[in-house]
Amino acid sequence: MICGNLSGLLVYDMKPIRLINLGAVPSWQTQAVYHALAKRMDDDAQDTIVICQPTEPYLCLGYHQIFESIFDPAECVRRGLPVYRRRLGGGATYLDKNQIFYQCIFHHTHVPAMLKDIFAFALDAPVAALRGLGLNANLHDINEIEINGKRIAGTGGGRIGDATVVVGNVLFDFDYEAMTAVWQTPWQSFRQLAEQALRQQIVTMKDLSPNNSMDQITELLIEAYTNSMKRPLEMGTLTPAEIQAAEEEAREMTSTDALSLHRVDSAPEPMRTLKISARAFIRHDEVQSNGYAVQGSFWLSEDIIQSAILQSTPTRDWSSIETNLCGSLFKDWKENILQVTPQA
Amino acid sequence: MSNTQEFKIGADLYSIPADRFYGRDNHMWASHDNITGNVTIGMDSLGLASLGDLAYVSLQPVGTKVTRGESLGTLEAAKMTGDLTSPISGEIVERNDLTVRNPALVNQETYTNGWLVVIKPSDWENESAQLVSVDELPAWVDSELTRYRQQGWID
Repeated sequence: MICGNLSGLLVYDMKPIRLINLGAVPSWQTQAVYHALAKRMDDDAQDTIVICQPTEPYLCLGYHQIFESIFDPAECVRRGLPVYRRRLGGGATYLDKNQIFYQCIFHHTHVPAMLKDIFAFALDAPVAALRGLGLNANLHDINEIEINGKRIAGTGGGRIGDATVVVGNVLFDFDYEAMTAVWQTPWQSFRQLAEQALRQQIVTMKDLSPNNSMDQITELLIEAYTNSMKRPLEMGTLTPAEIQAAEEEAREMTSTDALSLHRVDSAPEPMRTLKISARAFIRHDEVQSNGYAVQGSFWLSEDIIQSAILQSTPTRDWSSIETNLCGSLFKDWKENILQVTPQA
Repeated sequence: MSNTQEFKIGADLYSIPADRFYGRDNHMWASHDNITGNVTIGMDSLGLASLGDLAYVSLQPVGTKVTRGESLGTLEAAKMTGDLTSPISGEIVERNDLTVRNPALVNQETYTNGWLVVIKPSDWENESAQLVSVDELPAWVDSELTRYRQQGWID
């Protein structure tokens, strides 16, 4: 189970939280360190917050995702992007030096019981740090950090051994082209809509406040964590044993076993649904309609079609029908299209 | 006693059937079949209430030997992963792939079609004595709700 348990513990009885500011480090460290700290968590270990940035780009898969359904392996290799499998939830991400990471690794008895409260516990500080820059940041839909309704961060969490872990980032800039190029999409229109949605739903510090540096955000984050955790923070470093454990974690996270986790015997299907944010999903679907084999890619918000791209065999111009589908419920699209498609 | 223990979180009413055992710390239920001797395992509604809707369930394959307190699978809700902890030891003899394909089944039909695995227990007599039994159920539910309330998530 995920839940923590605060019963019987008084926060002032707890040890100070160790804060490790790794700065810019090789990419593997930005994933492997928090896994190593989590697996070594026990009753005597210190709760730790790690702040870091990767020096090179890489990709990271959510724990339950199927690699070949999410990423195009050949494109990952062509771009020289290593893929790590994290033990945490959430979706696949493209990560690089234009992102700052914060990672909370706490004993599970030191965090709240309910899932939404765990996220609030760990993410209140980054929200406060962004507000400290005058930005209208808030936590939306349990775990999404938004500014004016747009995502500025990716987040995820999980229980690893005795540790509850919550991680997130702040985007200073985002490589939309790289992210969308490595997706294993069913067809090009899906990728096209996904990229449009990504560009509309995500905002970066470059868009909002280009003069703020990562050092400034780091300082604000440390100050915000000091305030939000209501426990003393002390600056710390990784021990040699923790570094060695992290090196082992990095090997494990990129191993064939890790990347093939959840693989099914049948050929992997490309993704049918892609979450861009809590407010935007890309879906694909197919229907036989009056002699046309129609494939559709849809941008949905709360199950309402915001944009649609249709293609078919035999080919025809679908643009007016695409326009008419906007504003309707996704679940009705097949019925709607049957009513308006002339016989092929 | 009543065949269900009911409790309320906010406006939502939940019930816990009194015809099975419950893991004291992991919110898993265990229902023993007196004919086959096998035990069906699932998650209870108190645990699910703290998580919300499940997005993923993965289960160990049939034939896997599990030990009480260790993982028989994993779950994910709202981008947070966790282990499904086995309340007993034994061998997985059946798993419910419907919950892997449709994790919402665990939320919707928690005590019926939302079961997770069937285990052939290796020490049911001793291990079941450590689970929450029907007699202890009301007190256990109350203590769990008190704990949750102290942690500030029930108004």
